[in-house]
Amino acid sequence: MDTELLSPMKQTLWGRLAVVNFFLGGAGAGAYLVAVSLAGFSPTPLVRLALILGPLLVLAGFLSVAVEAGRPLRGPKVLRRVETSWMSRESWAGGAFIALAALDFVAPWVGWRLAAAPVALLFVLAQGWVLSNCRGVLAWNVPILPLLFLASALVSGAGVLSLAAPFGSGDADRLPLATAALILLSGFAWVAYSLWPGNRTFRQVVGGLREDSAVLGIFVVGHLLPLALLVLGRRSPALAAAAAALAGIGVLSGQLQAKARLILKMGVLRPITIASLGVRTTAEIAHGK
Amino acid sequence: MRWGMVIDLKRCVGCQTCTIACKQEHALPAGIVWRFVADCEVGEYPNVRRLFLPMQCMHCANPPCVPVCPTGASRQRSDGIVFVDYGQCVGCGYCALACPYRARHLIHEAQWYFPGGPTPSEAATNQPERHGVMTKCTFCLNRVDAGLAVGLKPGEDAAATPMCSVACIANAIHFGDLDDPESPVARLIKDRGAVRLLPECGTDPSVYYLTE
Repeated sequence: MDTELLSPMKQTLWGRLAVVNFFLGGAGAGAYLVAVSLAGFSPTPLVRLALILGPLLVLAGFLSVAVEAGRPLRGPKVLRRVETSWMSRESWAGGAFIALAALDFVAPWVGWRLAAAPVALLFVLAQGWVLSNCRGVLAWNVPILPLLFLASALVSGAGVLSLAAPFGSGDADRLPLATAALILLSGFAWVAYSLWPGNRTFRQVVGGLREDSAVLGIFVVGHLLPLALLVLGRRSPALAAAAAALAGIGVLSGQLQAKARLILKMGVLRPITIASLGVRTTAEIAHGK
Repeated sequence: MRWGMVIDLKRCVGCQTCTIACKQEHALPAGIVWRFVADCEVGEYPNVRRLFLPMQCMHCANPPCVPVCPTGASRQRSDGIVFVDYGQCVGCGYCALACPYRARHLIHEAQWYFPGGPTPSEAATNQPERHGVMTKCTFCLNRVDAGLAVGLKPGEDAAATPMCSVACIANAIHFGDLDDPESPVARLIKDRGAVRLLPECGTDPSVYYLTE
């Protein structure tokens, strides 16, 4: 068995601003993906809403994480290593999503909207791959992270649209049903992640998702409560808009807490271990070995 | 040619001379060390032993920090030395999280030992290009390159050898060419069965430890 020489310790390089980037970026791109999945690529009110909110949220995420970097004015340099770095790919995809949305705003064309969908999907997955390539952090260095981020982005996007739909989209009839389905998908993804196989340290860290505060914030407020509100809205049409908006708040709150926990609490540097250690223990010394 | 290091854990006494020699050689600011000697307790009471583990950049042959870097600031030379081009680094910290050995250190801003600004020696050795960017052990590549340029042999000639190895009071840190089977480091690895940290990460580190 490997001998642990240095204990796991929390990473301190990526803080709340990184969480904001992962949360807003996922919610923004996810909102667009959900909107085009429900309404197609014609400029319906729901797609227009997503094309305004989505890029703004992604841009806000980029700006927040740029502040966290040591040399933010060198930001454009992060586009250089697209052949190897998922952070470069994330930046390209996010930038392209913003640019395509801006082009559609200025000169509406279905081609911009068609191109924006795969770019948004790549952006969301790239955020997951950014983390899953961190070999120093056990809880992130797992292949399920991109899928977890996709599920989280889609349900966050549905949350954004549910919250904003009463203010601007008249074609969101299927949104509550889609939101409910995505809530179930997200719950499944987070549970699957919490059960992902790993070594003792990994299981200890990821076990944090089963703490009372995580269960309450992520699973109860972020999943069960929104589901209950959506069912209520289905049964009482008069309450549907308010219930959907509240469900959206719950979903966004849950995903924010989940990503904050993933980055801040579960971002633990792996222990330093050694396979074979020739030093003798006190008992071996006492016995003259 | 692949530069590497062999550290004899049975000789290391945990004096931190290498830590300070490195800090002085590279004029590292307050709170930053590119190498340190961890004081480890191995086993469980009453069967315990104390072990000193010098930690630094492992200059991996397959460094996870290099491909993740979004700017290309983290690079690897043909002789295996991994370094950071300070002028290209954006200070995002991604490489430090990709490194399983905790070997990278972000200098957030100018840090002085005392309030009120730098001491004269800090002012003289301050390197503003390192503020806001990632830093790490360089295997003293300036000493290695300068020594090679005048015909010295790194690992055997002190002027061409990393400062931690030169300064070690117990002769525990050996430096040399891992690809040369006749080099002292290659012989130590072969004869004494050196081990490396976290082989499961697949990084192929260039720093070996002698435990037997």
